Amino acid sequence: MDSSDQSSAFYEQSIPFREYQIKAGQFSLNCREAGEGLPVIFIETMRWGNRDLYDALGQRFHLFVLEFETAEVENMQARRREFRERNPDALEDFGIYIPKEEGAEAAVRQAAKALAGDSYNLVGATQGANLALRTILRAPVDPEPAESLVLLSPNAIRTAPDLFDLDSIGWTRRLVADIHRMTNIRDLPDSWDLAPMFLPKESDAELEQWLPEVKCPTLAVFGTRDRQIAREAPSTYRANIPNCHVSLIYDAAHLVAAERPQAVADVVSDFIENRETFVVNRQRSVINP
Amino acid sequence: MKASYLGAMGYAERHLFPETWPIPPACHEPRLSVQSYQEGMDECEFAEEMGFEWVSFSEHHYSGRIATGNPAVMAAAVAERCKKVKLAMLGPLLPLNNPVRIAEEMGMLDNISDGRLVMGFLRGTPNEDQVYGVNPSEGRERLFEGMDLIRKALTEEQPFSWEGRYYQFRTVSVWPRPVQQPLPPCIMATRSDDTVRYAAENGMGLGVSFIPVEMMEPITEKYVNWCNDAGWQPGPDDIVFRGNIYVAETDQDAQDWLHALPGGQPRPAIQISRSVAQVVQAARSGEEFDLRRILAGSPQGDVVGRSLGLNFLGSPDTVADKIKEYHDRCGVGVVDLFFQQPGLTHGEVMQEIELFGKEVLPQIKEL
Repeated sequence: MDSSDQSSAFYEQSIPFREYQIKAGQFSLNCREAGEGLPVIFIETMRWGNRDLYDALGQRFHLFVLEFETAEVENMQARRREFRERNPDALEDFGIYIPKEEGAEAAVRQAAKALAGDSYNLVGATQGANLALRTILRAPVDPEPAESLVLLSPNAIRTAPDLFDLDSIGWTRRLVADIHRMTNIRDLPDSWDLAPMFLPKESDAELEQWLPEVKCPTLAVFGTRDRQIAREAPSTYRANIPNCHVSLIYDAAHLVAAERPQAVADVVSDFIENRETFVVNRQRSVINP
Repeated sequence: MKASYLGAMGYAERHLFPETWPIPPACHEPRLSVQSYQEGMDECEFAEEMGFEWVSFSEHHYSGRIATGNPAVMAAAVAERCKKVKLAMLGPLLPLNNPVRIAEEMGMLDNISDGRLVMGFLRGTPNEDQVYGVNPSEGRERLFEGMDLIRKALTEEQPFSWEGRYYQFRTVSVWPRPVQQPLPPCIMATRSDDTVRYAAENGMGLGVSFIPVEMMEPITEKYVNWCNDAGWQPGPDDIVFRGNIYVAETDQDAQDWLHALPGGQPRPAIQISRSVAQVVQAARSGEEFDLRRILAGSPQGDVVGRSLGLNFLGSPDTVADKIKEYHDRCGVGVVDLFFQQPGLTHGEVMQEIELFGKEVLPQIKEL
């Protein structure tokens, strides 16, 4: 694996992030690193919306945000440039791409091992969550390298039946519960097809069958207004993964971290630090001692 | 059209209460209170016998006028007395309560009544916010989140955690699940546009209380339109009107009773300090308030309250005609009636229930 520093920042974070590129397998990955403590590998799907979550995680953990650099989506780079030109003051960019082909899981494992060593906490959002799950299930090592697994809005299992029929406008509307919370997404032209970034290949029935093989403590997080998944999807994870907790983020759709960043940061941080004991409330409630 | 009996369980000597809310516990005499609850349950039982199809319960605090601070407790007791009526929880004051607790109560009630529960949610009158120390400006948001959480808690098949704005629960796994699947009928008690729209968009019924028919008409019109936009049409049980009633043998008898009341009308049910009322209203509206300016107008700390008036007053024919008007103009399918008017004895309420059952119900049942 090769790595090289890169000086330009993607967007402003409130804590310092170091940014560089690494090669893993046939993939080139962009990595942003911040903080110290328990290592957290975060597979990114999109850039806008996650900024506050990264800030929060970077302040508590040794965070590595991985994104796949690929030209596979037609004109993606050109679209990004166009977006930046149209929105010079935008704090965030609009998206990246998660490869669905074989080999991406191996690349994540390879990169994670190189960055964090033999043990880490693995987090993924939307397509990144699907990839994180596949990475765990296809890990050829025993014990699993992940101390914990956090899936933010995975959508490969029990996908909403009508999801594959939507056009790009329908897709955009299903990303968030309230479009006004997304400062940048409102400026995206209708013609920009976001589906490749968030659309699973298909509802992955095979993946569901393998859920009982996940051995590490797992947190599956869903927005209460996520319409990319069928109603029963959250229960499916809880019922089939032996040590799984489901967290519902009130009043958020698919991009939970974009709409309720503090709520997501709280529950994810608690889970990574305390695993299944995150259910125990440790907050004091004394008003006047 | 259906009739519902509001199980208020009013304290027998409520007409002797002082003017202001809260009513001091010193006004409570235990033996009279025990008798009042027994009489209230007798009224529910008799209403069922006379053809009422629902009995409703409403959460109110610190007063014996409607003595059901915990309506679920009351509904459970009545469920054992009445074996046919629907038990309509109209309802728990969500901003005040733990939504998980409410979900558990709803689940239990639907089980012990074998699927006769109607769930209702509302924010409550301004005085109620003081009971559990809820900030009035947060009531609406708490109501919305509470409803979402309760509906999830009653329908999710696996344990989950909830990360809300006002509620955080790391383990929710409500037991028992409702008998009525996926959910018992839900009614939103409101008049505000945003909550009426929420009801329409979430397949919920609408409950409106105590206002004249001409004020209710535009509300139900909007509700029905928003239901259509959401792809469904409300049924007869989806529009509920709660009103005050006094039915007598003749119109003249009813007028004589009314005129004999102090001031010629029922007393306001809830009277609170003027300054507190203004502050609550300002908080609910998101406005700033100036305590000194408010107090300047009422140095004596006077109280305010509004008489809700009698929606249905008169002979059986007059009352039936008025109820029909709510049906015809507003689509009301269930009329929820508050019989325990001030000064009426248990015996007089029973007579009214009988008169209503024999002479009003036959006129509205086929609507």
